[in-house]
Amino acid sequence: MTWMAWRLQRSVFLLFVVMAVVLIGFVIANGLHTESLLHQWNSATCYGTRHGYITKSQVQCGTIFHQFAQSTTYDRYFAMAGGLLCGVLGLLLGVNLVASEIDRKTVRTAWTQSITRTRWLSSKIIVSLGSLLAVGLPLCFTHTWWIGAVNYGSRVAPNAFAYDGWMPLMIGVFAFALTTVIGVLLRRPGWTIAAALIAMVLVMWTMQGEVRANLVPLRTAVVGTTIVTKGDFTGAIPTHVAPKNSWIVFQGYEPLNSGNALLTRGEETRWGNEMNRCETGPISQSQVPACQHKLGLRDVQLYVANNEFWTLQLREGAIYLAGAAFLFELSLLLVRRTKA
Amino acid sequence: MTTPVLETVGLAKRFGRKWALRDCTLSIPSGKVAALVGPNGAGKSTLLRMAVGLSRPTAGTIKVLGELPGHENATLLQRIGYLDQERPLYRGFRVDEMFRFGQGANPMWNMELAHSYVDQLGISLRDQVNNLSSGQQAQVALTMCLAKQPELLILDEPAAALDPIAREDLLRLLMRQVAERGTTVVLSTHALGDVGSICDYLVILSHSSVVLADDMEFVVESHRFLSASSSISPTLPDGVTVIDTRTSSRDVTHLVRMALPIVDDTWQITEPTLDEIIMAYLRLGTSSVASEAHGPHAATRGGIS
Amino acid sequence: MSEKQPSIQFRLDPRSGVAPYRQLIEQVRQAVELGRLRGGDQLPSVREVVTQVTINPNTVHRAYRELEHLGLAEGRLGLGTFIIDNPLHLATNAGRKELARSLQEWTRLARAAGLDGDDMLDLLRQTFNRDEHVLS
Repeated sequence: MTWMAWRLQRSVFLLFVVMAVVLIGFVIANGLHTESLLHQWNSATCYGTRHGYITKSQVQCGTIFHQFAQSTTYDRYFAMAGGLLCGVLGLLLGVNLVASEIDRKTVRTAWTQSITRTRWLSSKIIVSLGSLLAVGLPLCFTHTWWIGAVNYGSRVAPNAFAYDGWMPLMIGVFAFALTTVIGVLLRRPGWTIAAALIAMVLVMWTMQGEVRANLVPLRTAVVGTTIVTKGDFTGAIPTHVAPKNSWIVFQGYEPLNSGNALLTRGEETRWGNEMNRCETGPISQSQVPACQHKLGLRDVQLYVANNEFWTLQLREGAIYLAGAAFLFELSLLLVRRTKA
Repeated sequence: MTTPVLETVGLAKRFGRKWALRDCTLSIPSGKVAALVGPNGAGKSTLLRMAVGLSRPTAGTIKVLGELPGHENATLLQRIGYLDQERPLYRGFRVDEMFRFGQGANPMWNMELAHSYVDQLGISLRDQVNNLSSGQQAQVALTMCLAKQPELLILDEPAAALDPIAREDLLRLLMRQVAERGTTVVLSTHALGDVGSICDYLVILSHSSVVLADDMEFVVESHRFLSASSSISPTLPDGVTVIDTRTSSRDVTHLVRMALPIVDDTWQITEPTLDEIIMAYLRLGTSSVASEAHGPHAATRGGIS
Repeated sequence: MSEKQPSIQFRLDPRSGVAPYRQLIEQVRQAVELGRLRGGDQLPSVREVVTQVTINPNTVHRAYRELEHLGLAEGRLGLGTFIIDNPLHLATNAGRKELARSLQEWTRLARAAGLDGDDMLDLLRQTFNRDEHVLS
């Protein structure tokens, strides 16, 4: 059965191996190039104080900056492609597993050989997981290195978190399990892919918007304000903000004794509105501290620090993995009851 | 008496609100080539699919080789070869890859047998299933069943939609297996010609129930046409069951099933062909009056052999 | 492959309405009468027959048993079925001549009564059917 399961996904697997190899090649080349640019930039002491790079190496720094900008133009797409590749592979393997066989009626052949359906499905699942691992692991390794190399920014922020670390692999496994179950239920490959895509978007959106911030303890930065006057211009500059590279989950006002807990959506809007109503007419920057004091509020940023990256990776990945295990079990249960 | 290969009691299957099979009680003895005959939608495929565990009964019981079929009963699956009506093969596979699958999925798989069968039919092992004619695909699908070396073959319309030569080759391959290994066969078919030449047990399904199930030999010997001039309106002899009646302006002709030899000079007696008998039974299902009068079990005789 | 030619090539007409096993018996009987099969000739094995014509092996067995019963052939254990040396039909041939004579007489009477060939065959068939026992 192992051979059979492999034979059925051979073409999809090979196609994805080719795509992964091309992507990994690009990512490595791009990563090395960007890394050397960053090194040159630093050694040329292009980092100026306030006004950008210093004058004596302006030409050199300008060239490096230009090259850097060019080399990082497609960063976003590289990052996404890595994550997408695993997810799409999971989706295709999942739809191949049962839905395609039901649609082509080959289940009638497979289910009347001398093997149980349980064995049939479990060997197919195991082989597909092997394929996912073979494509996903190298991708995860190179992507993790590359995101560090190009100094992509915060590792915990949503813009790259799902493409970083082992997340692509975990999302791929989950997508595979989800598509398998949907395939058993819907029995048509087209509908299965459509439904699985929608479901995956919902799952990832919920994970990012509702779940992830609860997986590690949040930290609070109480933001202060310094009023700066320069000629005619008077402005407020925030101080004591969350460290660069953290993922700011919430930014706004909360009661003084709130601790590190995340406010509910209702509370968030409530305190925001209270601040707005503090003075009649539009509130000016200089009135903010007085209003805060009056209402007993503080201006905060709740954030996940960048060094929580691996903890967060591990916990979110474990959730996907547990979800996938549950879905595999469900698919085994459902396939026993489905008609050919 | 040996265990019947297929035994059903009050078996029924419903799809939505429509009954595909109803109150089916049947017993097919082993060592036969049994034909399941009936119009489209009579429940033939439904019955066969339940026999191999692809589908589950709504009511009643089904036993195959004395066991309850089911998808987790691998030992029973090993003893049955099933050919689906659609003859589903993995289209992108080569013939040898199909066989490799068969070998991996069946402990009793006989690769030499598989090779010798396709070799005789002029199919190369390197041929892709996609590129084979429908006749050759049917051969490969049947070979998959035969190489499994089962005790019982369950074939759903094995020769349907094949050209006469492919049909002939396929059925000969099947008969060879029966001759060499004594495999029992239960097959469904539309082609009445096949029934007469290759089958020795007949089950007629009509409108989702069994109307006749018997040894072929007995079927032919126990049916007669009785005709007489309608002007005399003679009474029917004792012990006959009317299956079908044809009336013309002058005479009346009954196809009857008889329990005893007929000794009655008022009737002109002729021997019907097998086709005529089958056709009469198939028509029986369409006229509700006839089926009510005689009941679906009037003509069935259990698994006596 | 050094396969020997079968002693008789069977044909089967599924549309004739004649039961397949009767067709086989008839073909053997004809072959014996025409001298194409002689005493001691081996009939093709059941396996050979099913590769010649599409027929149920059980039907072939049955036809061969019937041939033995009719005294035309004999089964030799482990060897196959053979046409017997002095087929009984030679004996029945004598009886046949007698039957043929009485049938000629009967045919004359029938023709005088206004029956044509088809009528006569019908009558013969009916008589035959009525006499045939259903349950043996």
